[in-house]
Amino acid sequence: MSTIRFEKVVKEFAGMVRPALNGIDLTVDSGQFIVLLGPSGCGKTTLLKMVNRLHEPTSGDILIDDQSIYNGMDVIHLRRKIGYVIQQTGLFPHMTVEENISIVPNLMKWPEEKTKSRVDELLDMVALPPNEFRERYPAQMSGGQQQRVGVARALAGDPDLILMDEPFGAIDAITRTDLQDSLLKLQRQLRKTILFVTHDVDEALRLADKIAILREGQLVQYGTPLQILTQPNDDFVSELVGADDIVRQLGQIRVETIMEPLLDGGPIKQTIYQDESLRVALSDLVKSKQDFLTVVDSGKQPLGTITYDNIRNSVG
Amino acid sequence: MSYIFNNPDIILKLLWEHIVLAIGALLIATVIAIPLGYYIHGKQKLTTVVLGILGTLYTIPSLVLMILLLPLFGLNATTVVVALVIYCQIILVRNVIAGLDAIEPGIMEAAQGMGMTRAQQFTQIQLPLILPVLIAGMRLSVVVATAIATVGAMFGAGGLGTLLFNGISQGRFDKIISGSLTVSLLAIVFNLSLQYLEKRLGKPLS
Ligand SMILES: Nc1ncnc2c1ncn2[C@@H]1O[C@H](COP(=O)(O)OP(=O)(O)O)[C@@H](O)[C@H]1O
Ligand SMILES: [Mg+2]
Repeated sequence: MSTIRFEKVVKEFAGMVRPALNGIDLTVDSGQFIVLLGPSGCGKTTLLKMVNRLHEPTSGDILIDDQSIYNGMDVIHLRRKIGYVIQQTGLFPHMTVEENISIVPNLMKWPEEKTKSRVDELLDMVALPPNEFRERYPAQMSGGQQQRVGVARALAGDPDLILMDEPFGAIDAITRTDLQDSLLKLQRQLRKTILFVTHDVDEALRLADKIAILREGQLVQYGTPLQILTQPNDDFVSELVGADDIVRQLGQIRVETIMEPLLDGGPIKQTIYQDESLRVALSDLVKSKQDFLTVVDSGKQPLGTITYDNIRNSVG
Repeated sequence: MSYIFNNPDIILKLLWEHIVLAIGALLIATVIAIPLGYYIHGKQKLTTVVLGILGTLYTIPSLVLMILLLPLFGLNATTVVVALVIYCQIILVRNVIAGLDAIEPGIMEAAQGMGMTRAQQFTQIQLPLILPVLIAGMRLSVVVATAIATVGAMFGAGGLGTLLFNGISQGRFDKIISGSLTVSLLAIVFNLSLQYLEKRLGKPLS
């Protein structure tokens, strides 16, 4: 369990004309994937780094599970219980993959055997065969593989809360999509509370349960990808997410977010994977000449159905 | 040359004294330079001041520096070792700072964000990462120390300089040549072995 509550958070840096963050109120429910989205310099990183106290707020409070993280909480202890992934990977170049992943377990003094099996378990989770990758150094891996290790390392201590600051920002488009897919799968399994920073709108729409849009240190909208696209609060949000570009929207919204949950068995015709986009769903509907598709999970278990009407009603 | 083979016991004794002077000074200098460099790193003004002072000390001729230290430490090896330590400081401190500066900020941010204490960040991340640069500095330092330690013979510190100064006063070229040859060899051996260490430690990083 990990809920986060930001209460009137203000952050001023010395020598800046306006505050980097200006009164942020935001509540994050446990197990949700929250994306902080906004143009460069709007305060996303600053907000994120307050959660593990790499920055301290000028005023306001942040509560994790209703407990202020500034009030008598040991900062070292706090950080060890929060996973942290950054764009430059921050992998330690003089340590092997195994040593990198073992950092937090070692800080928490886990027994050696437990740490060892945890490393293998995590490498499996992020789709890096342990026998092949355990002994490698970061310099011996591609950018995408390095960031998989970064994610595994953040999960090592089994934190309830994970902070990710543009983790896939420096990675080529194809690999990035790959990593996003893996992360979605992983999250479906683990149900962590994730705060994920990006300035990439497509990435935000694809990954988020809810998106928090920041502009010049202020929260301008907080809602599901669909809400953001179909009911943008103002022109800034509308332009940022390209709310009037319907084809693009269809390409970014996951089928599972608008499907109708399965009530009873019913006939199964054509199936579609839950993480596919509405665009794929639409094209499958057209091609298959069916009036609905059955949405399935990675184990081919049916989850729900999707029709033309569902799609038409979901977009603007 | 024949002097070396005819007097191996003398050569070995002086060589050993020389090694102790150079390595002793190197180790003391390193133990001072690491915390000093760590402390002033990231503090612009302080770094400029400290490196300025150490750089100036480095330009004082060795004979002069040792004479200046004489009243403080007396006519013995201590004076010589202190002088060597002072000379090594600029090289070592500069390398410690360069090493720390070269660490990608993301690495330290990750270390801090994962909940490492300052001490853990230093011992587990910073020290291992600056090691190749630090050892490069130690290599240069020990070569400089080996050369300057020769002067130490005039201050009662012994070492291979003894052969040189004896040789000059007695007009014995064989002593002068044997002494210079052994000092040079020693410097080369120091240089090569630390170079090897430096290469091995730098390997996984590239
Ligand atoms: N350590 C700092 N010192 C001074 N100003 C900072 C610091 N960190 C961030 N800022 C400023 O705060 C604002 C928000 O920065 P940041 O949170 O990094 O934006 P984002 O991650 O959304 O691109 C920017 O104007 C930036 O220049
Ligand atoms: Mg940022």
